[in-house]
Amino acid sequence: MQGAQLHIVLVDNGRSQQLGRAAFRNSLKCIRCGACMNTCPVYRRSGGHSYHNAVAGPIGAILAPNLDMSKYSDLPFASTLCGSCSNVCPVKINIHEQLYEWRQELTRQGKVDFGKKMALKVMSSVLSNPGVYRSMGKMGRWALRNIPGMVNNSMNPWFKQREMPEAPQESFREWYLKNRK
Amino acid sequence: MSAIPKHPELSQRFNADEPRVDWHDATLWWIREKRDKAAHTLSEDWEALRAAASAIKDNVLGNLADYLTEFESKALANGAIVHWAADAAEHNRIVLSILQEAGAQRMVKSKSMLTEECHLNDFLAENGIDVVDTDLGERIVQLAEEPPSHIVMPCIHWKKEEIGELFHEHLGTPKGNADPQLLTEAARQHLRDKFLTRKVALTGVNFAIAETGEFVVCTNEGNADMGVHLADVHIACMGFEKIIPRAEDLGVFLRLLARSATGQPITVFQPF
Amino acid sequence: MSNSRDQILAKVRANQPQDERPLPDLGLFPARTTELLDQFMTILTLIGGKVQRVSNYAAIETHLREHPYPGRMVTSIPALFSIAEPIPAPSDPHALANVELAIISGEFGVAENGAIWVTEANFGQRVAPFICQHLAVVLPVDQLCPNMHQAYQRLQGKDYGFGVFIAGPSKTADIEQSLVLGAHGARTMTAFLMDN
Repeated sequence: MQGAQLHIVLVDNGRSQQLGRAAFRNSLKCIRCGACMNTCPVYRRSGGHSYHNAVAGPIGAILAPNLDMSKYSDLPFASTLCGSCSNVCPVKINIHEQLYEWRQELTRQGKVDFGKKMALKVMSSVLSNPGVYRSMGKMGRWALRNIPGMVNNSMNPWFKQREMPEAPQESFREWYLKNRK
Repeated sequence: MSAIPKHPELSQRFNADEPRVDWHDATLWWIREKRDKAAHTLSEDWEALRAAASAIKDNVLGNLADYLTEFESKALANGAIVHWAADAAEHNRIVLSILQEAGAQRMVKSKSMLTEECHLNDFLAENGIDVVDTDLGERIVQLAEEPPSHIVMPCIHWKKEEIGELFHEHLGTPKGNADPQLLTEAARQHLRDKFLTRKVALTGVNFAIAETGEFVVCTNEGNADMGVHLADVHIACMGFEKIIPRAEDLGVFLRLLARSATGQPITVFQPF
Repeated sequence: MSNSRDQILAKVRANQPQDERPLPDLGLFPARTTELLDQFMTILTLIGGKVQRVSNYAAIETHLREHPYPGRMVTSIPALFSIAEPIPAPSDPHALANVELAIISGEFGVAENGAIWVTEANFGQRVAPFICQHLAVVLPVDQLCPNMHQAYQRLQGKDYGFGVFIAGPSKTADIEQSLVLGAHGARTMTAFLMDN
């Protein structure tokens, strides 16, 4: 298409840099159809403006940190990593894998909240140590039964808008050790 | 904690109105379902089309510099003027200088996510240029002084009653009328006047073809064409990854694009 | 600025992947139907277009006299000059602002999506098919191809200047996803499918 006098402006604005990031260059394949947004369980319930970027949704969340890692360090975490975006993408961009890659990259670059980093460190040591895992589980179940207010309060984002589970008397492992024949 | 609000806080604001969130969720899922139905109409080819589109784009990334210079030389041969912008600031300066050269204080603009990315409207406003976005959804968010919330459906988060109120205020539609037909007609009349009086039209680019120097701008409304063919100067802005090698590659992309976006078999206008 | 140009290209060259990435062969997308006319008419109707089968230009004239458009009618088809004025060849495009109906020739249609390929050679003034309130395209009934791959094969190597695939009337669903025909361009789009 061409008007009377035609100017074409070819713009880089970070694209050549993204091209050099092997893990993220596929984001440049995007044809801007928006299918990844329409299908995204986070986008659908958080709205486009929650991404504070020109391109919202899953694809926006892998394009934006390329331009400014600090400003957009939150976006790759705004995903369940369910992979629905990658499934509908007409040019087969591995969107959810890149979101996961960005989380690691942003953490390596020191762009992730200290609290989130510590919480994940603690979680990692609990989950990789069976003894600690069992005793933490026991403490957690006891706390949920006896002092639920310690867990079910406004400090706990998981508690917002969710019914908390009823804590069982014993873990599956304990039940299994008693009942296996 | 950083000073600017981030995704969790911004989501919380959006979630303050739960019925609205449910409505937003359901609307987008409905569009997703339309996409699924459209893909199923091509079930014999769909996955092969995705694979082909992916392979073409992979090829583009691997040969981008050559395709860009090929596109540039073909576009120059077609009579276009080609500019290169390293960043958003340079892009905005180039657009402003073209407007100044044309002696234009006003411009119509069809949808371009690149210009959103570069915050072109704000920059031009600071420099005394009046920009009118002509895509209906873009015009709605422009009147409301907010950015689009979706790259294809800019005002997907707006309810028709709110648009009725906005149009009553800005376009003088009857108070309390939220009929999409009436509101669209009001925008049509309002924007037709802009198309007929602006000398410069800016558009985005969906696909630029290296081997011919041409490009395609897909719209349903026809707003890109109305702007361009009534203007003396056409400015087309594109992120350089919009390049594809061959015209025949459009066969693949145009079968996928609208079906993936809205579930249509193709957008109404694809000029090039 | 040429300086930015060279810097951008150097950066792209340095950062683009070096592995072999061949282009796919697009010959693998064959026609999926032989019922081109049925499919074309069904899809065009589905996307808001109107379809009229006619045997010749006289039938189009009769149709337009029976279903008149209240206002200025223009056409690029000499056989219809009896009912519509010729589109003024390259003059001020704004002169077409009050056109009610534009009747132009289409080169071929695409069965799979209802689009019709028209070029400026068919309508003279680039703005003509967009600025009119209503658009009619005359298409020979045997000029249909199955899908977009065959469409681009037909265009291969042709110098058409400005061309556009038009699929139905201008439309929008930006207000709460309610479909409204006639956003900025033609409110209705009629395809006159003409026998040879």
